[in-house]
Amino acid sequence: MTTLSDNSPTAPLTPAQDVLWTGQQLAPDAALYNMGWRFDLYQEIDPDRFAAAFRTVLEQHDGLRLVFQPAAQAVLQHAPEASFDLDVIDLSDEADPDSAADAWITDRVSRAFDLSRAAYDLALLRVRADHWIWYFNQHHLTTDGASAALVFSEMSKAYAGQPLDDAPSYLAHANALASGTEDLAASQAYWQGAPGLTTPTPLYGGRPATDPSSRRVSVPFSGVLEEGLARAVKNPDLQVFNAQLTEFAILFTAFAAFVHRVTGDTRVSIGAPAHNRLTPDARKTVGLFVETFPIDIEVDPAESFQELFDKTKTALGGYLRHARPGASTGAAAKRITAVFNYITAEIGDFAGHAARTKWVHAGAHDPRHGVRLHAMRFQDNALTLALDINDGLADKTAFEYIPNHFTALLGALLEAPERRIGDIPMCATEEATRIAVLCSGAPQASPLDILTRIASQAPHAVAVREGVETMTYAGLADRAAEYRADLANRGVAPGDFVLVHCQRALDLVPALLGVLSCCAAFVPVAANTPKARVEEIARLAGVTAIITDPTTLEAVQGIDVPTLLLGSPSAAELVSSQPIDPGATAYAIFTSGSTGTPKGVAVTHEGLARYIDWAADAFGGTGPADYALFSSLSFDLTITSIFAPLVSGGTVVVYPETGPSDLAVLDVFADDAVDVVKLTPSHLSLIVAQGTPVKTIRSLVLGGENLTTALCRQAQQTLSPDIVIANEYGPTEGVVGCMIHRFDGAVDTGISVPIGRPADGVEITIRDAGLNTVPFGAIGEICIGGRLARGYIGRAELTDEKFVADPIAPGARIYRTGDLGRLLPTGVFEYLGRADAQLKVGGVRIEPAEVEAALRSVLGVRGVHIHARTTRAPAKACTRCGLPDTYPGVAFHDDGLCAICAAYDGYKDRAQSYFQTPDILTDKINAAADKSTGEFDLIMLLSGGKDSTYAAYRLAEHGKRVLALTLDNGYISDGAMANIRRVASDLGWDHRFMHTDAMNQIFVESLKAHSNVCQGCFKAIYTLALRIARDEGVAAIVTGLSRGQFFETRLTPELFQAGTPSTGEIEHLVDTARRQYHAQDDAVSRLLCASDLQDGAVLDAVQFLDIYRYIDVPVSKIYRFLSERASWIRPEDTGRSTNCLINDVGIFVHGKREGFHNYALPYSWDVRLGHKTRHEALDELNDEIDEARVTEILSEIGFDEPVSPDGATRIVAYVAADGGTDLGQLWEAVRAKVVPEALPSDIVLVDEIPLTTNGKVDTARLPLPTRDRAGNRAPYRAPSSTAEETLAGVFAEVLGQPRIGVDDNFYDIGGDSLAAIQIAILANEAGLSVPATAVFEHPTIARLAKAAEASAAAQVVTPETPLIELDDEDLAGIARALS
Amino acid sequence: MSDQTALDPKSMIRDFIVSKLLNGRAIADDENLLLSGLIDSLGVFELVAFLEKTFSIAVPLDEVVLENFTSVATIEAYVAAKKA
Repeated sequence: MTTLSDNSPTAPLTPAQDVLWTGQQLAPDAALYNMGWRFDLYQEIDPDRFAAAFRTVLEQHDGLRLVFQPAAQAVLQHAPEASFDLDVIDLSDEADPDSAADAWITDRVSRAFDLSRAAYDLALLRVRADHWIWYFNQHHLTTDGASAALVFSEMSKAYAGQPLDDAPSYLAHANALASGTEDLAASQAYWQGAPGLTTPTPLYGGRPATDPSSRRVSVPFSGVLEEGLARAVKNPDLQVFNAQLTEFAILFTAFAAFVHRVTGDTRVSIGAPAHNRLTPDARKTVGLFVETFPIDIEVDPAESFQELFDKTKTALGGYLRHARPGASTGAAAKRITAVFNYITAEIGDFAGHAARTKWVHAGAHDPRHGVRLHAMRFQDNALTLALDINDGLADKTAFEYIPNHFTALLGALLEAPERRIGDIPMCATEEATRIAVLCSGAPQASPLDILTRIASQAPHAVAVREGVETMTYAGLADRAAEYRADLANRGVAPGDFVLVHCQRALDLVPALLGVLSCCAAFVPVAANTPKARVEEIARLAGVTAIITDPTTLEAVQGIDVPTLLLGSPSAAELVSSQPIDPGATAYAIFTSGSTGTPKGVAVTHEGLARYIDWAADAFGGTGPADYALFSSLSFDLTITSIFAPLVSGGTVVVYPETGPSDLAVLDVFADDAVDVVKLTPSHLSLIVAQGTPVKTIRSLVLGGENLTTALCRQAQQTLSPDIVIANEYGPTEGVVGCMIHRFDGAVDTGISVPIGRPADGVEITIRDAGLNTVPFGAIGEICIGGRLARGYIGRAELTDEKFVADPIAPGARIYRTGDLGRLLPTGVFEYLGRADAQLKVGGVRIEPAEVEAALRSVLGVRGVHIHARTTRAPAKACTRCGLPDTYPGVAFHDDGLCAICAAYDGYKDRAQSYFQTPDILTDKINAAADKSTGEFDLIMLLSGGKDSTYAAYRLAEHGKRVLALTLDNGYISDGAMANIRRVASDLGWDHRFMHTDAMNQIFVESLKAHSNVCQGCFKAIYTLALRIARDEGVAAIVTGLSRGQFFETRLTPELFQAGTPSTGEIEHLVDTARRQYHAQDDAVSRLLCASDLQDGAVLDAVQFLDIYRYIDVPVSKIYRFLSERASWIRPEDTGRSTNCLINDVGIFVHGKREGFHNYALPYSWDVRLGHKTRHEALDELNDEIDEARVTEILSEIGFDEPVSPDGATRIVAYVAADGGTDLGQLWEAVRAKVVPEALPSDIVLVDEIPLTTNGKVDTARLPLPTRDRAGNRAPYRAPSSTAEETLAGVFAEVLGQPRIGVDDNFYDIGGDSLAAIQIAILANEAGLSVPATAVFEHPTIARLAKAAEASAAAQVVTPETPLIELDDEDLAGIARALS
Repeated sequence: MSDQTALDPKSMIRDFIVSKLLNGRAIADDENLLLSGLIDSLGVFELVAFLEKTFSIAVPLDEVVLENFTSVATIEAYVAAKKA
């Protein structure tokens, strides 16, 4: 037993205490773990007798007296002599003694403990002569529910004058646990969770909270629920072991359903404290025994409560089996976002008199847990339920309703376990009513049809203008009549579709009105649309006529319907207009479907009229407003700019196409001649970058993409401070726009501009998977009711899938947008992106706008787009080489051929010049041998695989003195080892194994940076072999790189795209690349201390000879040779690889993280070169990986990240910036402003963000990322001050890396929150003033040193001052980093 | 451990319960361990882990029922049935 200097016994912390200690260190001033009790004692209490009784109890139970002594390595606890002051407060004279007591307790319980002095606090409050309150508070480190009940009963006995039994010692328990021989490995592995397990979503879609403040609300539990539970516990279908576990399982099932419903996660991890008091002695010991373990469970909204209960039973079995004292792990604690605490601790009378017990909430709890549900039985066997809810949920949810959400599900489970989880409405009447009111737009009177309204405008006012050419309303009516006549004369009848495929022009407006007045529908298609697509749209819509212009005439010639040229309607004979049927289709817009087939959305006259009626008021105000018509005709955003001005009596100002990229938006702002411009955020971003103020343009309507507040602020600064910015939300299916929010810089301080409130006549609801309205704050799918498109042309099935009957309002139809949103209690709706492209990292929903805003703040940045790359299963493979379509950046041709195969056909002959004859190899070998000065002529890299073994035999033919080298990476298979030894001895060569102590770390870095192991392994081989060659005077290193590898890495399609490089040029490129490779200062280089090779001098002295550049041999021949003539035996212990056991780990991690097989490209080259068949390649890519073995190896090498850190989504930030903006600045900006888990994987600099013709970002044209975070490590800079040197030492010690540069970012080199705390502790011990959160704020050694030096308080920390001091900001920083 | 393996299953089960779960309190073979509150659900699963390891049997969750774990005698009978 360890002892302090005064010889009193001490003990280390138990694992359960350790978790709490760490949590408390992060927030030393918060009452995170205060366990306060209020015992109402209904008798006259004698304070002296009470104090004496407490002294007796204290003396008996060392667990009550514990204090804690922190040290850098461990924390010690001991139990000094009992001493305390009993506060006695008389409240009986107060006007309201009960409220006074409540207030006193609320204040007192929220005070943090000084754990070095005492971990308990008590007082007596006199309410009345015969009613006293014993207030008793303990730090959770020294207590739990059962412990508190024990102290109460001991006090009751002692106060009554009864003797106490001898009590077991907590310190002895802690020491026994520390020296325990119990094998917990299996249980700890169980709690670690399955590989690829991601962190769950925080409750109600919140961000991980940073502030531990929380409140406790009681959950109404009586009457129906209470009776229901009593019945359910006896239900034969709901039985687990005994009544108590059954009750636990029932409540847990309802809570799991609740967590699922308010997160949308189908896998939930709920923490459940296990009491861990297995023995009678443990039950008599005061102190902390409880440990919290997660119960992981899959929840499917389509299944019944009964089915979920059955899963709970199984999960509970695993939980109970592995909830062993001391088995808690950090990884398990990390995935818990909600806690279910089931406590049974009977607390009875006090010294023969009645008493009541209340567990007092201390106003805070672990901020990682959004809610904690407590099910408590303290008294009379009565169950009470309470929820602790983190205050951080308050601005998003309506707090008061949260208990109802849980009881709604519990009630359903108790009443009818066969009901489906997803079918239960969670909002009780009051919340549902409040939500319903907020979901409805203002009522809308039936508006006149568009044509009638336009016709009623002042006839001489200008309706349309293009440049100096104008058309009045009277002129417009006449012209429209001519188009109507022309179309009718060509046979266009009501209900027909007319394709309008032309450039924007003055006459376009009357042409569209002409179509409408035929009671036909127009199908607008922009002039720059590819011909094939135009033809497809015409076919899908079944158009009966086409309006075109000279620029587009050619594209429609193959379509066999009457064509009429814009600008020259031949109105031989006018026809009268048709009465408009409000239900008839007015227009159809074709959007790109996810399958690539355009889908046509048909909108009725009534839908159009209703939209325009609302939009004209909302955007232009009262009176005529001029709008710019500049956007793509194919895009429904343009509908607004055509019709809204006409119904207001204003002018449509036409801006014609400016060329194929069509940036007429620039002309609109240069011209500055309209009132309203409707555009996309991408367009606005371009305009802001132009930086020219406007005077006439007074209103901007933004649609089509998410809008950030940063962009709005920039727009107001650049264009005009008074400019009105309206954010309009709406899919084509909801008729252009159905929600609006007017940006207000003072109020809209979030990252994205909300989408505001529903438009007139529209109902917007947020629904879950079962189409239930979700509660306030919860994230769900945005559904639109009221004004809707009629459906998809010719796609009845799709129409039925998207436009569904509303289960809540029978008879009504709603459109499911596939967009995510939430309704805030303020009545404002937020847009949260597409459901199918959700950005989630570690379970946390990422707001791309946040990353975007950080990047936009960098000077010179013109445009930003955040893109999520998500992994998926391959849909097809190249018909020739088998390359799967998940391989990034390679297009597939219509015939199923991949772009590499197609390109290879065009350059394979030209590439042949790189390959040379065996004679040349002989010359080179001889020359190198002559140049070598030591014992060996050549070095051969012998991996033991088939290629290098065959190459070795061919090299041996030259009879040189060869040193064969193999990297022993720790995972060479026994079979391969034996091969290597046999081959070397067979050939009579010297052979050495190369080693590096850092091998496992190299694997880890390689996996982190490249998601494979090979890259790190290769670098180690080349680095170590080059050193040996240099040191031993060997002039050449011979490799067995295959021809496939040449094509994969050197003879790439790009190289031959522009011409045919000469052999010399290719050699030069290869040499340059090799020099860059060794000059690179990446993590692996540092682990190998490879700075000696960085200058490239060694490459002047040592050359590489790739055998297969000179000899060509098919794989079959290699195998035949190896089996017939060599001593090589195909190993059976390596899977597909012929030498290495860790290869599968790389394949597994790569597949999970990058979404494709890391051998996809190499194998495709094997096929192209005829070394493998397509079938063989596909078969090998399909290999099953032994996941258990992979997990084992990952833990062996110390890989500490989840395999799939972000649910297989990688976030890439594309930035268009002026020259001079470098990646370093951009990384710094995002790191400074964005939570670590939201950092993009890559930042890619591009010239421009490519836009589609609709003005949205064209994601298909974004280049693939080529750099990653780890590859972006700063160049090494040595410490230059004492503080930097000290910190470099500390970083190296904590992070276990020998060489950390002063500019290296803490996160990039594997730092986490615990490492940050350790760094702070060690730095403080070394005399630097470094608060724990400083590492997060100043994540490099250089910056941290500067901060420490700047701190006036820089001094050696004395034992009296705490080792770490944290303020609120520190706390926030840590909580952020921890989550 | 070696002397334990010489014991009969019933003694091994009793020894485990007495030493690990009851701090040495003696029990009779037919004494009810569950209803008396001597062992609760967590304790039962400690016992399950012990049985699985010691007797090389698998105890599925649906066999962790009161009938099988009431007393030393019923536990022994359960183990014997599993091993048969």
